[in-house]
Amino acid sequence: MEEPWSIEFKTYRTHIKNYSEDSRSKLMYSMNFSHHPRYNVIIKNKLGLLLSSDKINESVKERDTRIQDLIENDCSTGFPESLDMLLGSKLTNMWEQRQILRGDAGETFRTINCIIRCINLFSSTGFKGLIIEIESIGKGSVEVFNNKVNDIKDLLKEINIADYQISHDTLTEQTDLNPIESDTDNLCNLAYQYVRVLEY
Amino acid sequence: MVQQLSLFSSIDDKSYDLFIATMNTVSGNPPILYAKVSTVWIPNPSLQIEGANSKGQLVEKTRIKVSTDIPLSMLQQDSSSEPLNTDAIDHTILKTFQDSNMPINFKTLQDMMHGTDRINDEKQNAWCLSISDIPAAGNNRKVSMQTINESILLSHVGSNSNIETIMNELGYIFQYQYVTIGTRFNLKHNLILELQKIWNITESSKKQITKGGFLIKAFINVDKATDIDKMNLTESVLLNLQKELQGYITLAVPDRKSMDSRLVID
Repeated sequence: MEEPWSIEFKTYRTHIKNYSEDSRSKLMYSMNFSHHPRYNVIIKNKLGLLLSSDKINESVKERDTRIQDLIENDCSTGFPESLDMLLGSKLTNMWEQRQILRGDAGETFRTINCIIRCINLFSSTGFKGLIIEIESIGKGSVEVFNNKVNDIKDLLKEINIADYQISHDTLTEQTDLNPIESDTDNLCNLAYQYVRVLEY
Repeated sequence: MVQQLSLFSSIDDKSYDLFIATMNTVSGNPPILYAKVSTVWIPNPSLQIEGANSKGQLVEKTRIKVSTDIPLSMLQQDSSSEPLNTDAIDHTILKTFQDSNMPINFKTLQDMMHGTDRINDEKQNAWCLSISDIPAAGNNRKVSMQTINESILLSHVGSNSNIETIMNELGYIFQYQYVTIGTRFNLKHNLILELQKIWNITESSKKQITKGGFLIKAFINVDKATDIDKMNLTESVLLNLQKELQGYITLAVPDRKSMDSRLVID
């Protein structure tokens, strides 16, 4: 058992009439995870963007020299915000915030080769569902991980829950030769999986 | 949301050395060379964007400036020669940029914008997306005061993801880009003074806007506009600098309309 965590999941929809015929591409999703406080993740179509959050402080600036470089080269004023702030203030004529899903006090369980995170999601109208996130840690093989996922599925079956969505989609080409390791890939793929699961 | 308080001026090319020496003494800090590329994006005119949001509030179309730093190793004397030794580059290099020749390869800049190859996060360029309001109105303003909203794009994934596709997805298209190379001094109270050379660049032409001189910008960023004490202090710090340089250069408030990033309402 570890620290509780929380998530904020926002959906934006464009109200530009001729933006696109495809209803899915009119949507954009923004996510903030409490266990990744430095980032704000945006998913738009099949693009994943990793942005600074509004919780940038001195220590973050020092750790990421790229932010420091932007400030020293007069690109950034040094006080960035999350894109949510821009969407919600300057771009409201193009993007409209639709729904906010919030999850608070989520549980984290750490097993030998997995981290399992659970959280109840609520919208303004009520309970939306329980999210279970399974992440393998260390050098766990794909089979071990799939076994874990099957265990969870069995558990769900045992308590008579048949109605659930599962996603292991990725935004990047994932091959065994090229294991994803960067924060960007991990977070954006995770965010994309949230979108896929919550989209139904 | 940041308040940027600023004052502007200009000097000609031959005053550069003396001004650098003066500022070196005034600030007690050495000059620092910097370079950046800024791209400006406008809402896609083929989209029917309304001037109001769903609540009926008026929202004007504004440009977004997307900028990133240019590593000094990319600076070249001219497009044919080898890159300069980074250690040997200092603020004196700016004296050599007196014509429209830009010391950066156009193609390299395009690659920065369209580049999709990535080796790891750190290799990916971070970009700053910023939207600025028109500076605050008022006849007897002593300094220019502008609100800036910005967000930093650290990295992106997805097939064919680059700055252009990202901006297109947001409903924006490219308008123009410019390169700034300048020298900056860090002064007390977070005051920064910059001397800038600016090039407007397109595929076929490079034009130095600051030909024959340098743009001087003195500014301080304040993160909370509600902090009145800090705003007042900041204003007086800028005015002190103005006073100190009086008779030498005139730091003045620019026309606020020239700093308006909104689109002309048609």
